Amino acid sequence: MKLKLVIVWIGLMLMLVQARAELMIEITKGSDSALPIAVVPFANKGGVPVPYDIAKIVANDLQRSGDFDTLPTSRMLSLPDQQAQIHYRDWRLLGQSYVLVGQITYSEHEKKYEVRYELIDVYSQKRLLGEVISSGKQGLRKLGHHISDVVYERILGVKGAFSTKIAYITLKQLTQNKQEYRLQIADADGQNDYTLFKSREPMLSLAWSNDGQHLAYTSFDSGRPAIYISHVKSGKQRKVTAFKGLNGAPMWSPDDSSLVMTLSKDGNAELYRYNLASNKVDRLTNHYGIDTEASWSPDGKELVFTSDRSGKPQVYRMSLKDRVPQRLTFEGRYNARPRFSLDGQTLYFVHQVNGDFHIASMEMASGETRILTSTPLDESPSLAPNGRMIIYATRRNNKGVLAVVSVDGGSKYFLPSTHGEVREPAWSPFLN
Amino acid sequence: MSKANRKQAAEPGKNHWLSLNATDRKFLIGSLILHVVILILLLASWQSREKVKTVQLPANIQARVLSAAELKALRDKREQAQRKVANKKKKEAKIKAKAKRKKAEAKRKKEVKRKQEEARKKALILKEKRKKEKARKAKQEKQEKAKKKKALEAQRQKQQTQIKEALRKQEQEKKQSERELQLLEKMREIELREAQLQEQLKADRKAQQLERNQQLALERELNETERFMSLIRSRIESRWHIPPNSRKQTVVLRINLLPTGELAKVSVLEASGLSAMDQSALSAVRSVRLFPVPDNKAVFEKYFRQFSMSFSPE
Repeated sequence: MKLKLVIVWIGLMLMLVQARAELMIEITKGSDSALPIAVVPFANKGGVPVPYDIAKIVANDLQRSGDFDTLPTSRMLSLPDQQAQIHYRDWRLLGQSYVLVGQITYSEHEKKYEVRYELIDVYSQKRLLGEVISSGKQGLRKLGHHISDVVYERILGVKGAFSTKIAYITLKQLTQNKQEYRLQIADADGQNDYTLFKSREPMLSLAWSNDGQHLAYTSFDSGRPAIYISHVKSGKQRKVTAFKGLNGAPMWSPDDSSLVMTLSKDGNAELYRYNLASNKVDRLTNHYGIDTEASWSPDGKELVFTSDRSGKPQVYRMSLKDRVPQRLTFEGRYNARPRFSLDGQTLYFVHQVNGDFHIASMEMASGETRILTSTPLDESPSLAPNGRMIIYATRRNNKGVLAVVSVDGGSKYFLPSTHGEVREPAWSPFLN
Repeated sequence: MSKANRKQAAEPGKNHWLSLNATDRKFLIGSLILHVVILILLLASWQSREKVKTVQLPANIQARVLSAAELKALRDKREQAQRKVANKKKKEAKIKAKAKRKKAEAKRKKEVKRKQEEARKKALILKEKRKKEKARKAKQEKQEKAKKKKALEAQRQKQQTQIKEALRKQEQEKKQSERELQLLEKMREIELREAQLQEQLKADRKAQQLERNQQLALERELNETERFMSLIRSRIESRWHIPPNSRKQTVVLRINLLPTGELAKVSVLEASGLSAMDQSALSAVRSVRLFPVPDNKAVFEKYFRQFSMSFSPE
C-alpha cells in the first residue's frame, strides 16, 4: 500500500516537474477592438409578420455597448437559423468569434411569439447558449433586450444592462413664459419612453432606489425646492423634505434605508442623511463651503461629494464613521457630481478642462484621471448597473440630449429624444 | 769516515780518484785549475820584469871581401864567440835556473805545504761538506723518502681518488644511466601524458566546441523560441478580448499544436474562477487559425508541441 502511494507520489511529482518545465507564454494585454459577433436575422418560421426585428434589437444593443462589433447582415455569407446550419469556416473567414442564430414562430393559439435562439462559439464550434422564450407583441423589444443581456453575460461574464431603464427630465418651452418639465422613463436604448409625470416647475437630481421601485428627485413644484420620492410603476409621489432653504441632490443609500441630500436648513448647504424610516436627518458635514451632490460608496460606508470649501468645486471623500472629508481631485478648477464605480476603485465625475465640461474617470489608487467624453457641456453622469456604461447629459446641435459612453471611453452614442431639452439622466438598477 | 775511505785518501791513485764522488772530483779539479792559474800568473809576472835591451847599431859599416877560409874562420870565430856567449848564457841560465829551481823548489815546498794545509782544510771542509752532504743526502733521502711516501700516498690517494672517481663516475654513470632511464621513462610518461593531455585537450576542445555549439544552438533555439513566443503572444493579444471585471484574475491554458501550427487541443489548466475570463482566453487561442511555429522540428517538439499560456490582465 505504502509502495503504491510512493509510486503515485513520484508520478505526480514528475508530472508536476514536466508541467513546470513547459514553456509558458504570458498574456497581459488584450485587444482594444470589440468582440466580433454575428447576429444573424432570426428566421420567421410562421406566416405572421413579426413587428420587431429582434435580431436587430440585439445587434444594436451589443453594438452600442462598445464591447461588441456586430457584423452587418449584408456581409454574411449565409443566414443560418440554427446551429446545424452553421458553416464554421465561413464565419471564421469573416473573423467572427460568435454567431447568434434564432427562429421566431407565432403561436396563434397563445397569441405569442416564440423565439428560439442559440449562441455559438465559432472557434470551439460549441453552443454556448440556447433558449426558447415567448412574448406577446408588446414584449418583443423587451425580449430582444433580454437576449442581449444573456448573450452579453455569457460572453463577458457581466450582466447586460439592456433591459434596464433610464429616467430623465425633459424641458419643453411651451410659450415664452410657459415651460413643461417631464420626468421621463425609457428603455436603456431610449426607446419605449413614457412620462411619469409633468410639471411646470423645474425638476432635477433624479435618483433611482436600488430596488428600482422608486425615484427620488428635487422638484420646485411647490414653489420652492423640495425632495420627493415617486413610485415608478404607479407614479405616486410623496414629499420627503421641504426644509427651509435648499433641498436637493438626493441619493439612495445602498440599502435604500436612507437618503443623503443637501440641505441648507441650518444656514449653509451641508450634507445630511435622511432616515426614511424615522424621517430624521443627520447632519454629516459642517463647513462654510457648499457641500452637495453626494453619492454612496458601494459598501455604504463612505460618501463622495462636491464641495467648494477649497474655493472651487472639487470632489471630496468622507467616511461616515469619522466624517473627515478628504479632497480627491486636484486637476482642474472644477470637478463635481462624483459617482463610484461598482467596485469602488474608480470615480466618475464632471471635469472642466479649458472651459469645457467633460465626463472623466479617476483611478482611486493612482489618482490617474482620464477624460471619457469630448462634447463641451457634459454633465450629470450616471452609471449603468453593470458598471460598463455611463449615461450623461450633453448638448448637441444646441439642444440638450442624452449620451452614453463606455467606462473606458471607447464607445459613445446619443439617445434619441422626443420631448425637447433632455437633462438629468439616471440609469436604473437591474429590474426584475 | 770509513776505513776504506781513509786509505783511499792517504794513497792518491787511480782507485782513490775513482772512489771520489762527483762533488769531490769537481772540487779537486777546481783546486788544480786554481793552482795552474796561479802558476801561470806568477810566470807571467816574472817575464814582465825582464827589461828589453836596445842595441845600437854602428854609424859606419865597412865592408871587405873575405875568402872562404876567412869566412870560415870568421864564421867559426863568430860561432865560437856565439857558443861562448851561449855557454855563458847557458851557465848563467843554469845558475839562474838553479836559483830559480831552488826558489821554485822552496815555492813548491811552500806550495805543497800550503796545498797540504789547503788539502787538509779542504779535507776538513770536504769532510764537513760530506757530512753536510750526508746529512743533506740523508735529509734529502728522508725528504725523498717522505716525498716518495708522499708521492706514494698521493699516488695511493690519487689511485683511491681515481678509484673513487671511477666508482663515482661509474656510480654517476649508473645514476646517469638510471637517471637517463628514469628521464627516458619520465619522458615517455610525459610523452604519454602529453599525448593523453593532447587527447584530453582534443576531447575537451571537442567537448567545448560541442558545448559551444550546443550553447549556440540553445541560444539560437531560445532566440527562435523567444521570437515565436513573441509572435504567438502578439497574435493572441490581438484576439483576446479581456472581459470586464477580470482584473487580477488569471487563467492558464494548455495548448497543443500540430507541426503545421494548427491547434490540436486547448484546455484550461488553471481556471480563473470567472467563466467569461476562461472563455475569452479559450476563444482567443481558438481564433488563431495557424500559430506561428518554428520550422525546426526539434525546437517545435521541445517548446511548441505543448505549452502553457497564462492570461492575466494588467
